[in-house]
Amino acid sequence: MLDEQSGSGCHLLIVSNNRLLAEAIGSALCDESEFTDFESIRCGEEHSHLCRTQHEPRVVIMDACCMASTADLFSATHRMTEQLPESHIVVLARAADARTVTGCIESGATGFILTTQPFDELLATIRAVKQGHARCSGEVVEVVLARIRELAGTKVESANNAEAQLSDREIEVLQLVEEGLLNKEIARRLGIALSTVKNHLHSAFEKLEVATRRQAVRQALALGVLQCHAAHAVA
Amino acid sequence: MEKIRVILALGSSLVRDALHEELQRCDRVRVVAVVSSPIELLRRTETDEADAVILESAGEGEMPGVLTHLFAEFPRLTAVTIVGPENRAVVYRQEIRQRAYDGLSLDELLPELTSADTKYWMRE
Repeated sequence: MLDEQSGSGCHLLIVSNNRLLAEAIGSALCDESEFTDFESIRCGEEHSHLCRTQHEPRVVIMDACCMASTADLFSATHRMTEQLPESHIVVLARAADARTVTGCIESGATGFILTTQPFDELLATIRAVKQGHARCSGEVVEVVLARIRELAGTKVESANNAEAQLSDREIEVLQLVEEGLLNKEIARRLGIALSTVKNHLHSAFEKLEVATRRQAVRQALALGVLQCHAAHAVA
Repeated sequence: MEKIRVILALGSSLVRDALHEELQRCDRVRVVAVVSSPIELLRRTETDEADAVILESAGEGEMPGVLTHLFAEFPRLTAVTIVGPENRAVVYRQEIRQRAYDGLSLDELLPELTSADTKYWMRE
């Protein structure tokens, strides 16, 4: 089978210390005509392999089970994505926990599959990533969604806290900053002294844990405390 | 030539399926059952007249408990036990620990299976 992009063979690289797993999976995927050939290397041999190999693999399967730690898995995945920008990384793991899955995705993996899944699931994942899509098995998607829900909950809570902490006047001043008004213009608009505007802003800076007007507006927008009106930049 | 009848009892579905596919391509081997529990392994070894079983083992030093029962019933059986993520493996033949591998490969597994004793079942 020829690679559509390069016109050469379509190669698979498996990073695993488990020879039986690598050979069985590699042979089965080649038998399914997904790849012209495969190579398997042990964990930690990625760099030396990439230095000597002449073929850039279309897909790399990283066996998470043989990595000493999740940090090793993330750094190995990251190195692979940097050194092989055209290759797609699929992580193979025994279990899916939110930290491992999100860490692998952040490190550049486009596929994540569990060893408890059937071979057909791996096949579907390989076919998807080869076409440039990201794909995870159902259990993994559930973990990712749970993590997103958790993060969304934290964001809403932070927004509520920030809104509760900021006074109405501080929000009003920040809203005018967001609209592009200078401090003296805000003072004139609200009918208060310039020093009072500055006091409101400094108080808002402390509550939002920022140092500048621009950061304060960004943070307040991100937390949903302000509504975005202006297209212009905040000075 | 009679095919070696093999039962796969591996926890990892992915490896089990891939290995199943590869063993089915071997002329000398036939996978007669894929099981997920020791009880099922005991039952299917008899009903499917298995010559060899491939199973996972928690520890490297000792023979898995289920093998003690299997060898008591079927002493001519060949068993390949696979240990841990680096798949160190031990081959038992007729209750005797015959060979150990630091990391078993497919090329090493096939000869171990094809040299299993097929005479025990006295098939027609």
